[in-house]
Amino acid sequence: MNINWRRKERGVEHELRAARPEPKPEFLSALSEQVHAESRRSRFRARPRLALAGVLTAGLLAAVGAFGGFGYAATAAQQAVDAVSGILVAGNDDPIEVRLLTAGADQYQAGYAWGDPGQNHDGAPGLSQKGGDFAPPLVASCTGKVARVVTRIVLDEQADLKVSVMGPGGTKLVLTQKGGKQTKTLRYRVLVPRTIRIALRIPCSVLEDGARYKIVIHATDPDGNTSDLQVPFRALNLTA
Amino acid sequence: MNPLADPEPLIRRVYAYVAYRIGDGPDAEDVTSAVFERALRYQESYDRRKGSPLAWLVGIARREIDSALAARLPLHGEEAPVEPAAPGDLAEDSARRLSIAAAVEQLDPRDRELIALRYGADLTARQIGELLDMQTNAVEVALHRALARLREGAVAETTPGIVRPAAAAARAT
Repeated sequence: MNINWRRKERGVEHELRAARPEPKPEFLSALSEQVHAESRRSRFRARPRLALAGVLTAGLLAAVGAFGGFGYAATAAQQAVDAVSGILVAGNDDPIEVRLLTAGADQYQAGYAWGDPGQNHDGAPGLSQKGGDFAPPLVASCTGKVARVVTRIVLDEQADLKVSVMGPGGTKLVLTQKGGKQTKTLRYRVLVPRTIRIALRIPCSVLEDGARYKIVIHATDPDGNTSDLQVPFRALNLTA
Repeated sequence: MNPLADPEPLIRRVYAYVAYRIGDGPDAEDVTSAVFERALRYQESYDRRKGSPLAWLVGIARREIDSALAARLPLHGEEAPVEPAAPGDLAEDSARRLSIAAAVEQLDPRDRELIALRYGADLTARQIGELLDMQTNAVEVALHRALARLREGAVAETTPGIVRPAAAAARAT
């Protein structure tokens, strides 16, 4: 191998290392926090439900303080207090909103651990659209540069949800999040089985007036069983 | 031992590997997230005698990429191609990234895999050999050849008048 070629090869190697793709900082920090929190939490699986509100509040505050949060979670104690207050008034209608990059979870919901036997059953998770066949057809219309589409789903056990929107050709559409960040798949861990409101924001520029799309929801329970749900919707009045 | 105790450098390496394989952007973020989601679920099964946490994660990433590519197969051609860098309208660093990304994209899947493992995930030739079931020196030779092809592609990319074979083929269809 001649010296000249060796030098050129080193040049390419140097270029490849220098141009190595880097994750976006917000993605890196969100996923890093999530992995930190989850890898520690997994050691304490199936903890019994905490009965007293005071204990629950203290426990959640301690968890938040020690581990940060799951994905987008804020670290401020006041927010944890607010969230816990929400649980105590049984507001089980918290929407899943696209907030940050990749993940979210019910980390402030009532004290069920991931895999809690009282919140899970054998077999695949039951996943359906609220109202079933009688649910009104969904429509996405633009307000400003973003179209909003909202649906409700019923989930009968704990599950990790992956939510995305598919176009007519099977492409996944970009979802716009609060703050303008974008992702194609929203992830959310549901610790409290319930009816869940899902609100998604889609850039109008990727929608076609009159075209049909679908929200695709993939649920995986703590045992690895999976279910899928597709909720169709139509894009209308995009220029309004 | 918790293989995910220090996740940030692992996320960087896995993301770089995935991005060299399927392109930088939201799809690479999706696959990287799925890799760590799976790793969290099966972290108890990690055995450090079988390899480093990074090698374990890259093994998971390879399977996730196969699934992602299989799902995306019918859509091939709809994806926006990587634009070659236009001189003067980008910072030097961004231009270099785009040019290298475009050259890597032109490689065949085997070469692209090797480049991604070596320069994205930063695995050694020995680790790559263990992952691909190859001898270390066979990996080194294959990498050497992949680099040669990459360099040819990169030269064609930046030299006016030289048309890349893959680009020419794409234009003909």
